[in-house]
Amino acid sequence: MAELTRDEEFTAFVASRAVWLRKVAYLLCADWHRADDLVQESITKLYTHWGRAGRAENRDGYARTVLVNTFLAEQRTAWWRRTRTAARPPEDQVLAEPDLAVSLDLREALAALPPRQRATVVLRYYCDLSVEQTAAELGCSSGNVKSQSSRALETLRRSSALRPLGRSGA
Amino acid sequence: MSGDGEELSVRMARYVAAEERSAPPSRVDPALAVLRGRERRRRRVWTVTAAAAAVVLSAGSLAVLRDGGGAGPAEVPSVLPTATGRPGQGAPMTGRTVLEVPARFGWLPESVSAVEYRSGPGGSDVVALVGPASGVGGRGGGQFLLTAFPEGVTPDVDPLIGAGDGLRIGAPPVNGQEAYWVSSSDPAFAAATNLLRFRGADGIWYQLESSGLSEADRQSVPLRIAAGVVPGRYVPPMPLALSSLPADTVVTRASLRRSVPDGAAWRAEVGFQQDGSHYVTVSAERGGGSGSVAPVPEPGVCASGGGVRRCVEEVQPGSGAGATLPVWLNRVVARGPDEGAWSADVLP
Repeated sequence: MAELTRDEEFTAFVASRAVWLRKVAYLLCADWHRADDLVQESITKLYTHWGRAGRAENRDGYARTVLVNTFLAEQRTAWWRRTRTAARPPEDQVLAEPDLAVSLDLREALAALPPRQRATVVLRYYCDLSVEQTAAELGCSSGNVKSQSSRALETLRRSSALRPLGRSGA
Repeated sequence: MSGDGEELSVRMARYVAAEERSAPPSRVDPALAVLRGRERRRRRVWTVTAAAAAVVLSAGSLAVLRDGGGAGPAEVPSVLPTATGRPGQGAPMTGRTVLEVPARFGWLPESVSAVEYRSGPGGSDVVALVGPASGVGGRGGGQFLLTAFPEGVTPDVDPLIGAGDGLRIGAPPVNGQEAYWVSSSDPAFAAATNLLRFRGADGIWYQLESSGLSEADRQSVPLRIAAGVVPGRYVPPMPLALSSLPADTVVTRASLRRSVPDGAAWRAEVGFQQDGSHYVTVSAERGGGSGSVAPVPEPGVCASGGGVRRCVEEVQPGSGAGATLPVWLNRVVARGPDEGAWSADVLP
């Protein structure tokens, strides 16, 4: 019965967060199929550590940390980088959005960032975490987050993704 | 945060929202995470047990693999293969089938009580389950997990495995084809993990991960199982079908478990995602509930007839008349206990 309760709690949590986690995963990898794989692997890990996740003050943050670490761990194997070319949009993709160009520029600019910088940018500017919160999720120092953010923003400024903007600090 | 940071936040939110509108349906499946997570927790018990044994037997577990196991440990190649991969990743399935695996087991030890064919977001595999001969539910005594690398991919060994360097250790050829063990300089990991890779007659690389073996069997049993593997894609006939499917519904996973050696006990499952957030698992198993390996799912509904029990369970209630459990249950067609009536075609 305890197992059922645990499983029900887990599945309810994941079902309510799957869309959000998928978006974060997509920003990390720029490929919806791979985003699904990342989320699936992450929630499987989450299940195996559900007891620990339950004790976490911020369960959402715990799940997001698992996702980011799963992404970074996969990058270290170098497999995805060799077999997927996620930086390019599918040729048949048709978007009628007025900001299509901005989206495509941003996609390419994010994909060009090293994985850890990309993760830092996603956590800081999409998930709206503070420097300290980002450092906690990435398991590094605040100084490291600042430097990663700074380098990433500088790269994005040089790209067309942020070129029209001013040059105010991070 | 200010300036560029704020603008980047806005642009990222607009970007992902725009991309989401043209995104394929999500294949994320919480129920599958529960199934796989339970397996990992069980395997972790084995790992802890084996790691403890490794500490006691601090003579070095690599020697275990080396004894009679082939050419001895080799360094990770300085030049990695031009193509690398990981097992189990395949293209999305199309048509009416929902389950396809890359190979089948041939010889299996008598301790195996069930074989399960599985496909899902991570790919497809076949697992032989060791345990008490209690039909399809026999679990807890280890397993043999067979996966395949994509065609044309020669797998490499990760530089880092566990807390040590990844090692490729020569193994005797399997049916005359190249084979090797994947291990680590981390003694605990090496003692706990039994990973054999071998090339099949079709040129595809396969991986057999074994657990629950005694030290005496650690090499001989996996090598014998590998020699008996029947390479080539296999689409198992399924004992259930769907009479209809609502719009915006995708298959997220499928599995068929059968008892060994007679196959008399069985259970098939297919996972669906409806409207992006409603996760439904339909299942059929032999029997009318007596001796059933699974309790009535909660929340879920079941119906028995013709020697088959059909069940439907969900993660969260769906919205709309077409998403209720009774409606889903009515869509599930049982093909009966006679295997001759089963078919690989599951979708309408």
